[in-house]
Amino acid sequence: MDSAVVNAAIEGFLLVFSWPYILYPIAGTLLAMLFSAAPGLNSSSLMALAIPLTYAWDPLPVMLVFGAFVGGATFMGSITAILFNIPGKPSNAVTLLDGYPLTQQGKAKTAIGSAATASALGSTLGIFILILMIPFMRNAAIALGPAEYLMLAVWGLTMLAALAGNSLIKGLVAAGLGFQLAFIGYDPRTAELRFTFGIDYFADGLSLVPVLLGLFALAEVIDLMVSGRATLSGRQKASELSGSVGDGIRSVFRHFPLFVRSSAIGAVIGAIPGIGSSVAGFIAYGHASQSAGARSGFGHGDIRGVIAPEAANDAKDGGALIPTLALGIPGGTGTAILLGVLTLHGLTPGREMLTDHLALVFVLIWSLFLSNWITSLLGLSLVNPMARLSTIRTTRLIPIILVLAAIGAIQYRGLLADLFCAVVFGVVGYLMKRHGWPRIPLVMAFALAPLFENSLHLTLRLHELGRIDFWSRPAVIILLGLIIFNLILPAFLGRLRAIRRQSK
Amino acid sequence: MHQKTWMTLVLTIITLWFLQESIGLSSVASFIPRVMLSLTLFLLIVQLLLDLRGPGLPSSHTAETIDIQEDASIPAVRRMPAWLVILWITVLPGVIWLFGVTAGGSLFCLVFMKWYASETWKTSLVFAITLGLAVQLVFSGILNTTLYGGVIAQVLA
Repeated sequence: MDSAVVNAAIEGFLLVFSWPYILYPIAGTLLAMLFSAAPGLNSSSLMALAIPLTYAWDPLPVMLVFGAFVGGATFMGSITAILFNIPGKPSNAVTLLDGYPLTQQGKAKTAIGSAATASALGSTLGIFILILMIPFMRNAAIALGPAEYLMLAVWGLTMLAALAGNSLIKGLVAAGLGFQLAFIGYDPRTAELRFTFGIDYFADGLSLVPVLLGLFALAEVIDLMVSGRATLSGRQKASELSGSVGDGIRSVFRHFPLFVRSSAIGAVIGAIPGIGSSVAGFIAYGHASQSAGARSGFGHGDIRGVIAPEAANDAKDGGALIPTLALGIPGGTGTAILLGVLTLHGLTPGREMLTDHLALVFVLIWSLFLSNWITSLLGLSLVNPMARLSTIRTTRLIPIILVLAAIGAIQYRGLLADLFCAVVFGVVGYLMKRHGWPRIPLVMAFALAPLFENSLHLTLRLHELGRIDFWSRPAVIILLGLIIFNLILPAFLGRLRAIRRQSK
Repeated sequence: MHQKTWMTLVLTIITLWFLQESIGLSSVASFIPRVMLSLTLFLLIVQLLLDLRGPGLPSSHTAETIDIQEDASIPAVRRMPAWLVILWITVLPGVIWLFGVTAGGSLFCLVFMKWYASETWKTSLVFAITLGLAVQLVFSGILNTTLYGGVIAQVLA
């Protein structure tokens, strides 16, 4: 590696961990944790609020604080997802699929311990990948176009079969319904209104947050009330809870190859601009589910369903800085605000940023690293009081969950109608659960559909104009290989198990 | 009609409705939706035939049911029919629409705990007031965000 990069990395590290500068990322992390633990709020809101406050600051403390904002928010949303089925933000949505069932089995401590460990280590791996990528990042980010995005979406969709549960047809229908819901609203190419049925609310499309809150949080509350379940974990005392933080930490090391693969998926997807924060988690979850085989307990409290999305979500933050710093192309809302902040302080992303201000880039990276570890360590230290929440009587917990879910639904876009939408999806989610229709493929298709549709249209148009040679793009070929691998893997694993059974 | 069939039938009708709605769209805007809707419709018809053919499992045997060992010493909570629970849930957006997030949320908490959970007035009031204060403190006090105030407050203002 270039000695200038190594020197800048050391200089940045020493700056972040020196007194009094270390106070900036610590304060930034605590603020980001508070923001992201509150349903409906996220680090982007905090970053936007902090712009005028930090306008007069020097670039160094600004980098320290904003790096902490990016990193500090990712993990905390997982806590509410695991304990109450309420995702703090869309990227935490995947964690609830297996995290909440673990809470219901009395294993909230294991789930939180595992999430915190995967989160801290995932972010470290993501940052490591980011540092390694710095010398190549300009060329790498330019090489990705709509054809690669399309293949990435198809890759994600090939995992749907593994998430379908007992009935493949029902799983695929649920995915089809996810697509249907994603088509509602303005068509991004023609600006035509599609499937709005004359209702103004549908014009901007359905937001992932109320859909998720309804399908999972509210549906679960309805199920709790119908079944008459006394506590979330089925236990009355915290001492009776099975599982432990140690189990959670060990589970990450027990599934270390999966953790590494999920972190790599997160870092790579984070580096691709405009994909959206939730896609990395969904693809990592799909990959984990598929590689585990049809008989795994995914969706029913499999710890791998917590490790994979948590590792991917945190590794994504490091990856997301690649196009932002190298090309000035933000990967999401948070990095878009960060880009604005950089510009406000006279820092131009691109060659100048990666040569003249490389030490500041590393300040941002180390601040992100520090904040990820602070959130995870704090999360681990709070496991016991948080797990105790799962032993409170449901009759006392339900109104609190409902009000928090309502705030989450309303605050995300500032629309009261999103709460009504969440209630409708709550009923839909309950009916799907009772009648054996899997909800995970619906949510995954809903999250991937815009990427799939836009990329397919762009690729077809560019192909018509002769501006793109689909098969000459190396990333397309690599992703095609992964898609074929995904399609073959279940059959291969099934055959392998059959051979093993015969040999026994 | 078998218990499992009606849901497939409802989903089929919704998909057909979406397909009908796509007729007026331009070819660019409707191409991918039509392909996906047609595939979904095909799968739904297959599922409908499967539902009609077999006796199926009772509704409790679902793909997402989790086997949970519950502590027998915990006092049971009142069970309710699904339609009544859904009615309770739909009260929340109505109350929030009228009174806003803080007051509406607290009022819902009070009513829920008193009449659904059969808690004492004292416990219900303590929970409702604490919830309202916590929401107000965290969202308005610390995070400085504006919470929806309700239609009554808007009219009065």
